[in-house]
Amino acid sequence: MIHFAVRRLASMVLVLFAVSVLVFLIFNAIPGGDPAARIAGEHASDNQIQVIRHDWGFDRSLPVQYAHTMEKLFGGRLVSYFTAVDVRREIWKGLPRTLSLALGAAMLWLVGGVALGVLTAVRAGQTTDRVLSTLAVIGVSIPGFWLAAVMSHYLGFELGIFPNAGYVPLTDDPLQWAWHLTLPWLALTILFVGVYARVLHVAILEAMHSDYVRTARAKGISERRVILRHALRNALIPVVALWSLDFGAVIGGSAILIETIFNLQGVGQYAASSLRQLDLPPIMAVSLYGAFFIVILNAVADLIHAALDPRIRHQLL
Amino acid sequence: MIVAAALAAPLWAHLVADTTPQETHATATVEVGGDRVPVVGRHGDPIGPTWHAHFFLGADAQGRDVMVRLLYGGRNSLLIGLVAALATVLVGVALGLIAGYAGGLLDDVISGGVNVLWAFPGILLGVALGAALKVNGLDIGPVQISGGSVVIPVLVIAIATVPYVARPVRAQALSLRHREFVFAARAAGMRPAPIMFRELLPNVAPTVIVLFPLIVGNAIQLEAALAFLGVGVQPPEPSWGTLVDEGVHRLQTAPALALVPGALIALTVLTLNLLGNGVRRALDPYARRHAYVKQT
Repeated sequence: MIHFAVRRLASMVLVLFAVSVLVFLIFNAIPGGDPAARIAGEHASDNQIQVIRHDWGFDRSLPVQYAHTMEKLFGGRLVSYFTAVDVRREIWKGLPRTLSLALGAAMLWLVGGVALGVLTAVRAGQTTDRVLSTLAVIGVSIPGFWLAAVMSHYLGFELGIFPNAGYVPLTDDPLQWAWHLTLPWLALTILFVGVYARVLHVAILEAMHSDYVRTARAKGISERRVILRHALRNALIPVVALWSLDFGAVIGGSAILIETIFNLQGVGQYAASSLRQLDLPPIMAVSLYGAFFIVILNAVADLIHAALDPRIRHQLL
Repeated sequence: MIVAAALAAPLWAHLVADTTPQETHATATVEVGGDRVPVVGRHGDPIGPTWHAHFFLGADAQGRDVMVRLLYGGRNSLLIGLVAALATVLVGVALGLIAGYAGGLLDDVISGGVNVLWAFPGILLGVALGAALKVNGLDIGPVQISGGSVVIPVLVIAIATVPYVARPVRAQALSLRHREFVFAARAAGMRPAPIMFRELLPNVAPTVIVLFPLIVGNAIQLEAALAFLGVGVQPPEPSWGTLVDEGVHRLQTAPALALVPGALIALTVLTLNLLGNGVRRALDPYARRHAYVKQT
């Protein structure tokens, strides 16, 4: 296990480095135009561009530029030249909102998916399988931002069942916090729950054909107990692996769309509004931090996975 | 059917609606049931669906014909999805085959690069690339692409989705390279490139064919999301994503503006996903049996 952990963490560090190089290349080295002018934004003066060029090292070689950029992103002050606001403070401010959105939704779709998957596995057959496949494929096909916008407008604004967008901090009022996040959570859950139910459904049915389930049955254990205690445990492994991937993808991706629609003002919305103004420093920071978060999350997920299931250690290396 | 409708877009625009997707009619009037009604009302509210040749689905705030924009937007969305998916498949298959067959350092480099792309959610990479490219476009020697060009979203989507193809193809090539027919080909003096192309490619083709509709669907969705964020197709050029973006703020007064293009995206992607599932069942009898494992 220690051997596995060391190798997995080493590969994580390598990927982190590569991710930072990629982000650097995207923003600084794409041919066409002056990177200093790009970062400065549309209304910058020549003088300002000169300062940025020197500050970020654009008048130096590529490795030096890379070092300067990473120093800006992690160490020094990173300022939006558009709004003159400190980028990292803005991200820090939005983080609890983004985490609230992603964690709540991820829990909801995991619990919902597992419940649906188990229920349908107990009553497996052509019909339930078809219903699940349909649910899954619909969830994958609907554009999330559109679904969110429609839900927000009709359920929130027109019917007034749910609060009409906005965010209440958890520490202010936990009930209002959950109430304001219900619609965004539901929107994300609709997108994911079908896939989870289907993956679990198939995994349980596969496990039902395994030797250990036959043994359990031979011992005379009730069918319910066989499914819940023996089949489900193993079937959950792929679901949990998928969950950590999707959770990262929501934090680093879907949040950009969903937060904007529900006006949650998290990190994602910050990225989206910076995007509208083509204000590059915040977008750089969000891309880099987002990808870092996902890489680290995946490494942690693999480690937990390997601790639970020793076979994985050999598969993943 | 959606494809056919999108292809027929110019016909509708010229013959029936008598306008273009960009043309504005903000001060014009249109005849509905014998009365002449302004296209854009006094409070800036556009008219709803007329169900007539002109403004079949109503107009948007600038007095543009929604039906015409929807059809042209569909053309853009489908075309971008298709071209991006083709590029993804070409690059992904090439990278996957080379990495899987060659192994060694070449594999490490290619897989490393693909895994780094894989670390980014499609949206995030799309946002980063889209933002960087939108400012000044791209300028590599003879190739110059302006920031507002439709080529930019195609490029962005293709890059962001390459791992979806490269990873499974590499995995397959890896397992195929120790099979007898590959040894036989090598013993017969075949060089690596022909082996990859003639021996391995036909074997990975079914995987790619199954993946293709899913990748087109994914590309259409990614384009819509990027357009919604303002880094996809650039207005006034329509795509389903930009139409949803424009329509979202008018859900109250003119719900069709956002509802219809969004529903069309969902329908198109749904169709593509079902097509993908169907192709998989047809090509892989095991999958069919597998999907409906009955409890014994």
